[in-house]
Amino acid sequence: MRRFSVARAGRWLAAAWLLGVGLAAVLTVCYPERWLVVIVDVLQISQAPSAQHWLGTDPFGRDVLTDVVAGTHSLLTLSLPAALLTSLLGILLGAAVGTWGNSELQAPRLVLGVVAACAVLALLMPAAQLPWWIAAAALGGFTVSHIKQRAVAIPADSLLQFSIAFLGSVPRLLLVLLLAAVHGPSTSWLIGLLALTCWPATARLVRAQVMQARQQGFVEAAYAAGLSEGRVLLRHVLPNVWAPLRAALPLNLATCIALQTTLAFLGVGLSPERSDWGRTLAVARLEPSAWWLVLGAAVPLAATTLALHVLLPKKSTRK
Amino acid sequence: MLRFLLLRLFVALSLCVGYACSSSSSKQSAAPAAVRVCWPRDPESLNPVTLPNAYAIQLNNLLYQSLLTVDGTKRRFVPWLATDMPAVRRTDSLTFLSYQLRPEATWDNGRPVLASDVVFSLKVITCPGLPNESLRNTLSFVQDVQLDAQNPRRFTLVCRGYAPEYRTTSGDFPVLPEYLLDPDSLLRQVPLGRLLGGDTTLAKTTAVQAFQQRFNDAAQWRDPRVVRGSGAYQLVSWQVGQRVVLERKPKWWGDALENAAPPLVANPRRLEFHVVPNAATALLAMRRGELDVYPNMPGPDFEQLRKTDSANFHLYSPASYRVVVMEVNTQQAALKEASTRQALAMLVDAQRLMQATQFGLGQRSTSLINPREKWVYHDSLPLRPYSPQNAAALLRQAGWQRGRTGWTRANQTLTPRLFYAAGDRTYETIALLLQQAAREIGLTVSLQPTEAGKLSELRREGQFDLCLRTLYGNPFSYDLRPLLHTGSIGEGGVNRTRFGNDASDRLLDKIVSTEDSTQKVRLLHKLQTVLYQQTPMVALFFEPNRLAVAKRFGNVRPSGLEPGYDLSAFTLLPAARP
Repeated sequence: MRRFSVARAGRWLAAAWLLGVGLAAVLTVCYPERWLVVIVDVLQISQAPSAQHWLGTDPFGRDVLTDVVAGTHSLLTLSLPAALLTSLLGILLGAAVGTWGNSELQAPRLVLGVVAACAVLALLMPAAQLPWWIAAAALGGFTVSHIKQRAVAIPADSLLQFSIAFLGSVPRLLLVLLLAAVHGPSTSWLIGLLALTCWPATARLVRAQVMQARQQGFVEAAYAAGLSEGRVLLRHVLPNVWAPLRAALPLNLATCIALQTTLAFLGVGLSPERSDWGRTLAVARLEPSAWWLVLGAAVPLAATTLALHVLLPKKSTRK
Repeated sequence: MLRFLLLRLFVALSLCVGYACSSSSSKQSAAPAAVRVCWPRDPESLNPVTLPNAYAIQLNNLLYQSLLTVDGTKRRFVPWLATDMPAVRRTDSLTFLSYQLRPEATWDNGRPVLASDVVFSLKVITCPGLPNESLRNTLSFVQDVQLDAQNPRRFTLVCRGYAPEYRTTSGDFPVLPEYLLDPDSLLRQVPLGRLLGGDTTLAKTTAVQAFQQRFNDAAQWRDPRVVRGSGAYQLVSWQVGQRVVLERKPKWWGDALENAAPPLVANPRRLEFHVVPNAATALLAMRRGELDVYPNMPGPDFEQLRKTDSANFHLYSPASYRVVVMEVNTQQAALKEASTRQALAMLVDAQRLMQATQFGLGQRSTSLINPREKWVYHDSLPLRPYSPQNAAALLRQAGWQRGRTGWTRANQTLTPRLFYAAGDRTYETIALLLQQAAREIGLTVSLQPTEAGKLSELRREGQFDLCLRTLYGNPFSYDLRPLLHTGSIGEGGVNRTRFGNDASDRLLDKIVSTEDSTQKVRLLHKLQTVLYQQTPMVALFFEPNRLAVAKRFGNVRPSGLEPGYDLSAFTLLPAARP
């Protein structure tokens, strides 16, 4: 009974913390002049916590508490969209592969060839030409689709497994750092990067769940009733695999926050004046004796990640 | 009797040997085994004619020697490879500077350093197709060299016109060993007069092309067998971005000199230069005793060391000639008008910055000339005030209109990008303050912290609007042509602000050629006024040379001139000797 109460209190506390972080983030978005801009006062450099500065000041004379509040802006505008995109990408890819496997997705041979050739060229050419190659692939594919040709199976499952293996074999931070070096600092680029490197866990989970669900009798019955592939997936398969998927979003959010904070700590991706918990931690390197800087950034970061884990859907137990 | 004599001889010999051993061991123990120096960045190149930064210059002065060198503590040039300062003789349009080389000076192969080596060095410095632009411009006044047929160590530099600085500038270049850099004697076929005259057709000759190919081979400038001059130290290793190690030559010509004094002493047996870009890491390493010398420390770290570790370190802070400036790229369309540049200068709160970063040790200035040099400093110019309101008025005067998206005028938006070396705390503080002040008047300044090597490249290509950097000056010469002359814009030059016009060029040339000190002061005042009005660069403040040296070392000879200490002269203090 007691254990139950503690767990419940923990969940309430976690929810309250996340709500607080969310509110702070909303404030920085709605009132950037007041909450996002942190005043630099060089006459108040590295001050310990006091009545004037509750969490002290950093080596540039910025109030750490204001800096921490301003840092929530990155969570809302960067980590959250990245986590949503990651989850969406993972669910789409996992569901598609779980449904089609290696043989059921077929495409006209010529169309496939043109699209594949454009994809290879896009990889070899400068990044700035990417939109042109996508357009070329679409146009080329559409044009050749009018030619009579045989269809070939796309090994979607093998391709996904290969991509997951590749992303798993390269350290994620290294990959993100390499990709971040290609482009100047921008929020959209960073969201894309995080999503591109974090989707495999969700995709793997969804693929396994969908493949399992497809073996169930009610799904086979749906196919036997003549329902389309998409309808079966949306109406019968996904609702039945939703329970484990609910955990994916908070986990992806925690991963994206950790990765984005690490990047900010290393000074990658964001312009220097933008507040971020990772950057606050990095600034602590300038003043190793300023414990309040480490505490000011590390505690909210740890609390947010912990709260996301605490609020994960509980595994249902059958009696 | 014979036995008595033998006994006396034995005693005398013992005494002599004993004295010799004691004096040698005392000398040995006074010489530090190793000195470890902290550098914030890599020297980038060890090519003796390129010298991209102050660290490369410091290494170059330990490996190679010049005719004259700067004695930091005396604040004047002193003879080094030359026996004395040059004898000056003048005719109508020419100046003759006669040097005599030290008879003891030899290369590592035992051959003496002769006038022919000086001629070879001048050929290298003026040879086309080599990265020697800076030295070539500095010595552009040398027209010819006359060798003395009777004395191979005596020579005379024939110079165009006259300037008082010729006496010192003429001896401030590295004398290079021909036997190592041109073993096939390719440059002997090329007349020095034509090279000094800037004959570009020489670049097409076979000898020059062959020499260029050999000299420009980057790999050889990391090879200890090639990077070797007449200096007391030799290169042991250079791990790029990590450390450079030099060792004292076991046999150096300077050892034979009696009563040798700086700059002809070399006490430490090993010099290690550790590249530690992060200031906090460097401070930690100093405290742990992993580093011995930390020059140009950041102000807050120096203050911290003074408060907590002053028992373990000698702490010096002599006024220096290092000035922190904000360069403005005058060729960017939005920054072409002087009033726009003046407005940006008014957004820097230099007084507060100095308080915050220099802890009361720095000095503000209106120009690139140190206010301590009272005889040339133009003290009638007022220190530029921090005033966002006046800045806004100046922007309006330049035709800019403040709108919802910032300051704009016909098809132009004013959004300057401020570049600075990433990780530098002083620069970052300046950048954040400037951005904050600009925000007050609705101006967006984007901060671009950039890796040092990449930043050099961007500045060279002119791809910046504003840039924070530190300039190293000296009190000997006021030749600002490399920084401000239009001839220094572009390939090979270092006029990164791309400032200049005919009038400013004439003024700069006249300053160099003027002999009369009163006239020179007048011209320098005029130049300072022009720079104050045109604002191609904003001098923020002069930094002190904050230097920390482990307590066991003596004879540090701190000074305000680069590098700010005399590493070769370091000794071990008696208490620290084993």
